[in-house]
Amino acid sequence: MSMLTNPRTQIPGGIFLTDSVIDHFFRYLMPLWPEPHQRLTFETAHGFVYTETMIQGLVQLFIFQALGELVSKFALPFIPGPVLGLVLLLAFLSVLGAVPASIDLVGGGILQHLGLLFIPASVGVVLYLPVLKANAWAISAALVISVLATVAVTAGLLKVLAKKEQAHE
Amino acid sequence: MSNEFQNYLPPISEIWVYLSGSPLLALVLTLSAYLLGLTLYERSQRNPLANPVLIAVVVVTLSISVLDMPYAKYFEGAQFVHFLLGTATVSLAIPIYKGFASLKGRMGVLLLSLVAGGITSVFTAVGMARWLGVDESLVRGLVAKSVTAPIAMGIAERVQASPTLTAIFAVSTGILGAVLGRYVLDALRVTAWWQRGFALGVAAHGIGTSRAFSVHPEAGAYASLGMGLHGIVGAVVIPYAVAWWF
Repeated sequence: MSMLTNPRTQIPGGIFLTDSVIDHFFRYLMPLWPEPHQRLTFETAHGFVYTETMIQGLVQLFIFQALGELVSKFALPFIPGPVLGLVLLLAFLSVLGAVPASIDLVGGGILQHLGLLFIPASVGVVLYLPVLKANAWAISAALVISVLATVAVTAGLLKVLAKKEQAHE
Repeated sequence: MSNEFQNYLPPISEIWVYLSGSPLLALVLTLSAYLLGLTLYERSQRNPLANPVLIAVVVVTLSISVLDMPYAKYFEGAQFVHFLLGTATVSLAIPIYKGFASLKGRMGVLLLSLVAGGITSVFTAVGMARWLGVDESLVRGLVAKSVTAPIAMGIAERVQASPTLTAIFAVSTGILGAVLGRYVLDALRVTAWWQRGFALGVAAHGIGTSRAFSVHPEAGAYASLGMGLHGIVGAVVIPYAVAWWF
């Protein structure tokens, strides 16, 4: 078996090495950037391909986040930067017509453990314990009523509108 | 020889000072508390009441008060986890994009219900809280509570609400929605999976979405769509609504 393989070969798990924007970007800017089939990857080193894909995904997400922050800073200060980054990434995915494996790998991984990320801020609850204790019942009641009403209004309206649309057709 | 070695070894108290001075302690604390939460969540067959975030927050809160560590000091270390919230928000584009694929021309209907649900969420929460005489410093934290936590905290900063309170209320809302949502849906006789899922995603964001996924994949896909769209719409509209209303 040859030591050099084409990195474009699909590895188990369905990850392609060369699907990233950055890759295309570099190849466009730098004629010397190796074509995918020129790159040296050891056949045994699927782990390497995997981590490279991970880093590509992370860098792309950071780029969209940074773009979002820039737009937020200079054009739309009332919308948080990450939300603009989300919209930009969404537009990019729609243009691409698919989710690149690298972005899917990293973004999916982060979203799977989304909860972990708001622990540091939530621990700040220690600073609010006295005022929360004093208002515990009222706050709980407001939260329960509000969530019940939100589910009811959203689902109810959805049901009515969907029925209407069906009758229309 | 052993004497020489001992000279190099700092006393244990100094090691402790070094550890608590570096971000490591806060990071290890946060991550292991979350792992513990996840384990308990899996053990309870993914019962939404055993929410891993809730468990982790309780564990970390207790630990830092036992260690006598001020919150500011803890956050100094844990901010590296906190930083990824922005990246996670950007990643939300993935489930939204995948959700679009299964839409089948329902966009208009979904958006209308989403806006109605979002308005209901803010008005009922703030209205009830004021009516019950909740402290005004807490009321602002309720404004973004039905939006997914990473975006809700971004909104909170813009409307001069506390990101902490917003996160706490968002997590509580998510748990309540995941637990109670099905009773409301059954009472209203909403049977289509996509409708049930979308409503859960709008009202109870991430926690409702994982609940929806555990019930039915179609419900889950629509729930992530509902959560993501609510995040975008909320980030644009809520700051205006607050400026106008407060």
